[in-house]
Amino acid sequence: MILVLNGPYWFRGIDAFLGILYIIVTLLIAALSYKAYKLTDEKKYSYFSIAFGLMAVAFLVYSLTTVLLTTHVSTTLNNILTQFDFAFLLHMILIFAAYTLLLVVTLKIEQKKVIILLFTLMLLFSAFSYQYYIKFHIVSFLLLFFLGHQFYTNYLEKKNKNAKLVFTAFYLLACAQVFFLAMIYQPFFYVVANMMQLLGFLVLFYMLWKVLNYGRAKGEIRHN
Amino acid sequence: MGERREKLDIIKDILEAIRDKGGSIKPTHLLYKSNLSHDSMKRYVSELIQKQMVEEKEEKETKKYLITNKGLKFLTDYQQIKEFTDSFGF
Repeated sequence: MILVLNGPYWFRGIDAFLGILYIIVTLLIAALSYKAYKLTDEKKYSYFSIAFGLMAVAFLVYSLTTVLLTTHVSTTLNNILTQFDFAFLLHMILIFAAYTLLLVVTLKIEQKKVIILLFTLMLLFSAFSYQYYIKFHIVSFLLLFFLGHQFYTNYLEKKNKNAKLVFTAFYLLACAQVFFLAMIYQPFFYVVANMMQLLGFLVLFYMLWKVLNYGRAKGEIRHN
Repeated sequence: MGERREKLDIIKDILEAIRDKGGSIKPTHLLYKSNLSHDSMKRYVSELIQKQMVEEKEEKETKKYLITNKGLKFLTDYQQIKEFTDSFGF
């Protein structure tokens, strides 16, 4: 079973192209978080940076495999990629690790035992599982919805416009998972799911653009 | 009761206090301005010295803390990082 080539035939390759945007957004968040870590030495920022870095690698694996399979570079390579589905498995493990790490940071879990338990459960779930595609999107939906709710709680506390954008983006990403599941019944839902995911990442990108320009605008005011 | 300050805010307050005093400050003034206990202030200042954001100098047998260019750069970056961390609820 090939788990990376989904949706209508005409859409193949477009999803890989969208992956570039996801990689840019996740890498930008990872970089800003790393900057905060370098300034404060607080572990929460490094975990957050690693989580978004893992997401970037996950999207890179997915996009690269899609490109290799659709462009048909080599028959041997295509056979290996389609036979073992390791690209999808790797994507799944990286994404689960990233979401779990995000939960650890946002829920402020500090007990090492709980963190190890969470990661072990996620790894066991990924390694000893069948129907990867369905389980991956169900678990992703739950984790993203939970993260979205955490970010919503933060918005209620801070009443910050950027916080509003963050929770909206995560709820959109959670909703996209529902359409990825619906793709089993109708391939066109894969396009809808991708559009929703794209919207989620565009919202995150807009938030980052505002953050980066906020710093610049403040700097300009100070220099004048 | 006031909200608990994050480490990022404490660093900003210390550096701002030094900058607003013309770039150098006496430990006693910094203690008052930073609103920290003596031990906490010493811990934060030694961390900032280690990060090369602050320098320690003796002038006429009086100890003073000086803000460096790296410290001034932090104050420029602070708003951006603060906006980012507030967006995610750190």
